[in-house]
Amino acid sequence: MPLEQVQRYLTAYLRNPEFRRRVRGGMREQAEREMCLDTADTDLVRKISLDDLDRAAGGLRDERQTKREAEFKQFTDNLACFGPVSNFFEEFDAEYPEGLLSRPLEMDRFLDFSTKFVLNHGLPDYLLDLLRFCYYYVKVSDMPRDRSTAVLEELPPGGLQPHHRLRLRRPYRVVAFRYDVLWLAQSPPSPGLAMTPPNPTELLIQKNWARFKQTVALRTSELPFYRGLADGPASIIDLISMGSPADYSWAVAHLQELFQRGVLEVPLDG
Amino acid sequence: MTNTNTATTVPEPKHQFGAGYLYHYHPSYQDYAPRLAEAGGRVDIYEVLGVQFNSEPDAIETFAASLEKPVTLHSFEYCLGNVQRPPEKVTGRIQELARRSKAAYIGEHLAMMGTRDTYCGGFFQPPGTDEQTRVIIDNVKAAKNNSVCPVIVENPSQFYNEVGGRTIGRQMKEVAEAADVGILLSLSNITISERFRPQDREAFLAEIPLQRVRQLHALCGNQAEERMQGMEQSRREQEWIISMLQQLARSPALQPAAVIFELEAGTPSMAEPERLRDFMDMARDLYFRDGKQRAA
Repeated sequence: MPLEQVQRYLTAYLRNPEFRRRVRGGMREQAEREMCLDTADTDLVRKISLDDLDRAAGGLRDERQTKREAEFKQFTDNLACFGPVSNFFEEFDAEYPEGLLSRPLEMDRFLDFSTKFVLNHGLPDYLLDLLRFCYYYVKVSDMPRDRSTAVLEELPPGGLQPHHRLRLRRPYRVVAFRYDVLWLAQSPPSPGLAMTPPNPTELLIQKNWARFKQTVALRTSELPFYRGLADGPASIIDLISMGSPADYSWAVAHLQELFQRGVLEVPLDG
Repeated sequence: MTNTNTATTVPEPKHQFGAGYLYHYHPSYQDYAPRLAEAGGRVDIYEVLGVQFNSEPDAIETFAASLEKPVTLHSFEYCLGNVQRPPEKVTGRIQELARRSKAAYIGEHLAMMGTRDTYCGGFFQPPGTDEQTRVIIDNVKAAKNNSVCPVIVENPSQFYNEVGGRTIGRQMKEVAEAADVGILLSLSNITISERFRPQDREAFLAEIPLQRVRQLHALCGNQAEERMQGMEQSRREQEWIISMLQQLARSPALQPAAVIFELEAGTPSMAEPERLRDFMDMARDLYFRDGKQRAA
């Protein structure tokens, strides 16, 4: 179908900078032949102003950049300390001139491209931690809430009891970083951050059930009972039994607080 | 007496909902809603974007239910202008979202999205050829005939000089009449054309069969930002939008089901809640007061 070829041609022109350069640079007929345009198709596409198409391509690329900047804000803000981000995005856009533009696909492409960019340009490696932090933060926020089992919706009148089994609310990911990436993400972007010494940190990145498309990121080192929960549900008494009985009240209060914040839940599956 | 003339028949949905806004599934909108309520804002219908629920379709059900008002679902994944059709799982997902949200209707873009495997990057203006128009009509009919709710089609922005023998307006008219569907008239998209190929707005609007317009889209930008230096164009576009809403309301043929405001399209920040409140009240006064409502 001729229209199909016309649409392929327009799509290639809008998405592919190299294709645009060839059309503009004297190889228009070759590009039209590649797209199998017949005479009528060629007549049609040649009526379309190339200046208009160039403007459209630029606008669509800017929109793509805006979306990726929103998803990877801490990474791109810090990347900007080491060079023009616009150049970076031009290269990213040129690297992926095909394919659908759904968020999952684009985020994977962005992760791949950015990793290679940081390494190939010899940029500070803390940028890789920020990149991964942004990636997991958004990925987890997009995941569906796990409602596969019934859970206790509210605290019982007497609060949580020793027999109550707790588990981490899903979905979540536990990710190890070379740096204290939470501190990096919250620091104003600066080339000076490149001097930050490594500080291996493990984060629990968990979907926030109360907020649309948001995630909670907690240092597992600040969750005293994380190790007891890492392998699955555990009762309160099992979680706190390794500690001193003197700490029992504090421990229950801490776990109860995590329950009320939505970090933990009590499954009702026996 | 039943009017069987498709050129004058009011397509579905015939029910009038009122005024509302595009509620992005995003924390900033979650924070905005109570501020709007506190400012006295009254919402009759919400628009939600289907793509924001693709990864968690069950969330649209609880979200829509929490709004306690009708919902209209917005989509682009039907790719109505494309020759190559999207996979059935994609259109099936849109229908599932419409079903779960009990959507009053699905608003789709009358646009070329690219090919089946490669998106062009935006809601691109289709060429105005006979073949392109037939493709769109066939795609709209197929979507409409397999939908849990009515489908309406939205005008694209103008990106390039109109080619193929049809203007954007004429193509919209032909598609809407041949497929017998309603139109989502986006005044916002007309203003977006300014960034690419400025549209002859009067000529475009003159070609739209107003009796088929089921929904009006309009910008509602941040008033404080519009007053800043460098934002003159945004302010002018906002003034144009208000002026057009008032002007179009004078046409007896135009009786939309809903007027939907978009809060971030014209300015970086969302509109002040008070402004949205006032815009929705204005839209209700223009289009949904007793004298203006369609007879049952």
